[in-house]
Amino acid sequence: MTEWVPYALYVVFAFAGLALYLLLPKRGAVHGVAGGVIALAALTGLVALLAFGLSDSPTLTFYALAVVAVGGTGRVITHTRPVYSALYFVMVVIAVAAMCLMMAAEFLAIALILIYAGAILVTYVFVIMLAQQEGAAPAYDRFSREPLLSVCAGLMTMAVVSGQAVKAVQQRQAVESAGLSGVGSARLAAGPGLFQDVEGPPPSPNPASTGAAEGAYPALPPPTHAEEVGGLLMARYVVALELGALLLLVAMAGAVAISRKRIPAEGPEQKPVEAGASGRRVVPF
Amino acid sequence: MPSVEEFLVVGAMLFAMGLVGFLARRNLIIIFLSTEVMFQGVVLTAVAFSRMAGNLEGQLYALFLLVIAAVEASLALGIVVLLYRRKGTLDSEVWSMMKG
Repeated sequence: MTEWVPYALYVVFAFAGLALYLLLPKRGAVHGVAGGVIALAALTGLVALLAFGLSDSPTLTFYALAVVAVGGTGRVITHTRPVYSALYFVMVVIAVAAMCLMMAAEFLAIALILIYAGAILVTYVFVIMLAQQEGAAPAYDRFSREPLLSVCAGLMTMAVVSGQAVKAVQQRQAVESAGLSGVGSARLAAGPGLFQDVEGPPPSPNPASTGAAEGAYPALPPPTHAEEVGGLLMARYVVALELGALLLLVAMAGAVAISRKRIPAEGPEQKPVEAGASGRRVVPF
Repeated sequence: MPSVEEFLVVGAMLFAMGLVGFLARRNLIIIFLSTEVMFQGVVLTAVAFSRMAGNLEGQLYALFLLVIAAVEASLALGIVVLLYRRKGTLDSEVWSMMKG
């Protein structure tokens, strides 16, 4: 049953690629209606394939989120106005955060919404406001560079990455169910959503064994997800944490340094530079 | 509960569609926005593999990736503003002096 799944995936991706090519802004007519219909067909095919080919217990929530994420991404890259692209991207971020919630990654989901939708996207919207052109959508928004070749490149990437990922996961699960590999089988057999890390918190002491006469403490509740993430960050990944903080500091200094530079406006035409000339004078800061 | 492969397929689609946007669009801001879309695909893939392995490593990787994405977005947008100030347009085709 699982042999035909990667090839059906390629068919779905071909439809998605055709829809993307029709929807990308380009010279000649933009076939919005035809592209939209083919995009809907591709999304339906994707959901059907995921439900019947790859899943043993289809979940409606996941398919709704997948449709929102993939459809939103399609609109991000095909919309002519940058503000709408940014707003569709907020939708994609929220869908991805909800999918992380489904995988019991609560801290990451909230961090995604706070940082991506709350900080990065707001910065994007501010920059779009600063660099906005008045009137109708300018030419560089209405025409793409090489739409056919970029859609082919994206299609190849989609097909190769997802086909290989699906095959690898299915191979691994086939090997483990045959009992030949014991590396991850113990963890997988423990059930989904069970994050038993090697350096997890120590087990709470059993009051009966330590003796009630010593005033044994009551058993600790199991750590929450955020406590586990925090424990790992402070214990095993503390160097990466400090490096990340250093990176943020350096980026802040760099952003201030970049924004202080004085730029003389040159206009949209390029000045021709003769061979051997030293180029334009750059104002040092 | 959706299986790991379903998350991987969706993550791969997000990544590849971000790649299409990065290659096809001419607006500098949309190019960097497509890079952020590619980050979302990678985050989804990392968390899916983390769940398959049963530990939190993939989620921490995605968290550090978030830090990198924030840093990259701020610096890239600063550079985009500078480029816009120099040429007066957000078109990436005007920066073609080194084109062969």
